Amino acid sequence: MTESLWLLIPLSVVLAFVIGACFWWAAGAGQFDDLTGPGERILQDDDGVPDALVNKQRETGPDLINIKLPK
Amino acid sequence: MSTLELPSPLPPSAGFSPYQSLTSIACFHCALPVPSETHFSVKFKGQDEAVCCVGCEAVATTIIQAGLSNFYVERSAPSAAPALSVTLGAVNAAVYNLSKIQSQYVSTSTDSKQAASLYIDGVTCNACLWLAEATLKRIHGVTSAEINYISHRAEVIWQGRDTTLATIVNAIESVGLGAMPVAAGERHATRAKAKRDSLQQLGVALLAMMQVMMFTVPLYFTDFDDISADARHLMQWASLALTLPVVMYAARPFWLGALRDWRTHHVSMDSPVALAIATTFITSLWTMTTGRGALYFDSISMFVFLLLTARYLEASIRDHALTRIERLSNAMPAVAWRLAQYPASRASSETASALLAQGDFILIPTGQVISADSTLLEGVAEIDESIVTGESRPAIHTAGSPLIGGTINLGSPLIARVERVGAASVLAAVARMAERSLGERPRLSVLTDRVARFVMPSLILLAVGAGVVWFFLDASQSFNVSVAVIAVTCPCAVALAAPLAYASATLKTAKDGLLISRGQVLEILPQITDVVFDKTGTLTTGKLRIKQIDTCPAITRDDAIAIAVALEEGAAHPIAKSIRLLDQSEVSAVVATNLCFVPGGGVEGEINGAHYRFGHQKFSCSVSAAFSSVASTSTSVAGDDAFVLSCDGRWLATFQTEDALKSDALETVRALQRAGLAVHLLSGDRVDRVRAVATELGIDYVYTMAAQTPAGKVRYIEQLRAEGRKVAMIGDGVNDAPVLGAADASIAMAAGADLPRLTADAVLMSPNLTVIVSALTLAHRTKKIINQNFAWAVLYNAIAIPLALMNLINPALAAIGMGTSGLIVVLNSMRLLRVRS
Repeated sequence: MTESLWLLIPLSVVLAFVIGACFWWAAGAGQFDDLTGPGERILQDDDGVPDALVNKQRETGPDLINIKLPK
Repeated sequence: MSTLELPSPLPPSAGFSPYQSLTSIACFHCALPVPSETHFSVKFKGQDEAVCCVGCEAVATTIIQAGLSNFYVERSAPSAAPALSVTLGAVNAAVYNLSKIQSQYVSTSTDSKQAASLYIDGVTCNACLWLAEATLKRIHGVTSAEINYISHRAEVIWQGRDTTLATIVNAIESVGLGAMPVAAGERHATRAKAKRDSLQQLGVALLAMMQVMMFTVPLYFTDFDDISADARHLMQWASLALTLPVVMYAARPFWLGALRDWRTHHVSMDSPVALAIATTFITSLWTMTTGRGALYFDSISMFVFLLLTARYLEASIRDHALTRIERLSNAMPAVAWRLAQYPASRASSETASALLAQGDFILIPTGQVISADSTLLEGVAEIDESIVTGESRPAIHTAGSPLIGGTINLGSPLIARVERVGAASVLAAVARMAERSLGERPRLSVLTDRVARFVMPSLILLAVGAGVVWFFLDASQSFNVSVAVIAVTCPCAVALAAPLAYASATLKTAKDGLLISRGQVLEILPQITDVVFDKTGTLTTGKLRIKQIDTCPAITRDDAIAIAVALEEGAAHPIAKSIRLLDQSEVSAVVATNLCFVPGGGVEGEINGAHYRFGHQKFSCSVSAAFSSVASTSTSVAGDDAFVLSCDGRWLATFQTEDALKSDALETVRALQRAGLAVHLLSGDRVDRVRAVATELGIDYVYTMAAQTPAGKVRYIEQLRAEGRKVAMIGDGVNDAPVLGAADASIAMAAGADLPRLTADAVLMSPNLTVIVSALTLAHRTKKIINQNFAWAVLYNAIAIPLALMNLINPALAAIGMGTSGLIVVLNSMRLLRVRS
């Protein structure tokens, strides 16, 4: 039984280092700077809008800001 | 350059008139009631939805036509009413292209890509941020747009040849939100980096702690013979491997701190911590090689983790406070409208606020942020000063009043003269003051460092002493006991006890509207026995209000107002301001000529050939039977509170004025008296008037001093202090600066524009006097919490050190004890942030 320890313990140490390195990278890359935003972005993707419209707007430029104000 | 003519106030049809009756229908966009005579609507999912005004209609139409209607489904709170600039049409396009603004806000990379940071304003829920992000991404030329949902800061990158900063700002405004360009600052980047660094260290320590526990806990709970020596060794080596990153990497702040202490010959709490880590780690290495003694790997990782947690929490509180300051200093708008030929011509041109100089004339359109500290020249202003005062109700200003840069003009367009720019401005002063109070260490935390200086040698002495004693009792245990003493002692609870509590309390009071500029004021406030109030401008509003107008039978009240308004045209005297605030809807305007101001008397001028005077009684009509008969019927204590209007020496009318008490003055005085404090009233004003105020507020005549010169006020306070009383002085801060200086603690009323000159320990930004009461309560709580923290630190060490001396502490217990006692102090201090005011 104890023989398995010789494999498992070094393995767990290696794993801990890998996980640690992953976390270290993630924190350094700013993955934890904003914990709400990405979740909201997925939920609020504008499914109702056909892609064609979005693409058209991209091509024709910023329609958004040229809306004429009603007098 | 686009130009902007001085427009008349908005037409009533624009939906902003306060006189319109309202329906019970809520606006589809902003949820405010829809006025009954308007018919604005938008088509949403095939249905007509009512909106309240042209601004909401434009914004909602834009959002729906852009295919972002999902915003209305997903949002969890109604949107903010759009800025008036949306209603009037965006006007600030060209100015963002000025080179001065470009260099201030936009950074350009080699491949003609440009980047800028914007604060997104008017955010009511997360859907607003999504809307802003979606809008940014749809602008032709924008290559990337990311908004941080916590700080509301957008980082936008775009192709310089396809779009401009102006287009981007206007796009955000067209969907009913605001965008404020943020000057690229190094500070923001370094702070973000520091935060990431500490999170990395915290994570590494946490992971190591959990894994080391996995290997050491079984060793504590099994009999020595159940695990083979080989397996035991293996687990020890694994623990060592996992502890190495903690000692080498995660504990770096403590090593650096100790190194700094060593270089500067000044001991902080980092040194005992570093000593504990070093001793326990070296001991454990020694144990590994010799096979005798205790292992501290679990202790090391645990207390490094717990201490880092405490530090992380403390840093977050400071970070939070700094972000508030940063937002404040960014409130100054980028754009201003300069009136180059004023008063000859009223044509205005857009310019960068940074280019304004003292003496320039500026136009402040409706709904715009005021670009610089200035003096109002024309019109009655309705200003949202909430950014400085925390008060949401608009402040009313008349010609001659100072306006604060960064506040918002809610009323009609204004013309003002620039008084101060840049570092001299009110907002800059507020930011400096807040920064100083955060940076300055209260005496008590300086005291803590003195404790550290004492703790360090005594700790070493204690450890060595224990080792020597145990050497004679049981030589094999001698070294272990020494190490256990070092490991179990928790100087960090002592170190964190005071500063963290003060940081929390400072942040909390700032949110309530009391800006603390000297840290020790929180230390002194709980000891206060006497509160001395100044009268004018502190307990009273400091503004004259016309209470009553008595006229002779020949003229009507409206005639009297018309003449008075004409005579006071352009004057800055308080009476002129109060007259302009009167209801003039029924008054037919007249024009006075040959106006002449007589100091100490009043003003005289001619209207239709007749000679009029308006001012103090003696000046306007020295002998008047009619006047004395009216004056005798008046109940007012006023003498020179009355202003008299006369025509060719004959009495026409008397304007009775009063300096009204602030609405919460009584409540504040009562609350202070209930708290057992003696409330004094100290004023330079006349006896009868001071007495009247004292009576109304229930202040004892014994504690009331009237007709005092500043020197007399200082003497009064010094006398109180000589009797052993602790005095807090609350005054306006400009006229009575020496008096404030004489008191133990001083709070000045922020009279807006005078803020940069204030010298008090704390400045009341909020117009609510009751904030003083809640600040006092908070100071008491802070003191209580600091005492609790110290009591806990002493109690813990008083129990733990004897146990360690008796060799009853094992390494795991030592780590838990030292780490948690520090963390308890942190969490206890953070309770201050949640105190209800």
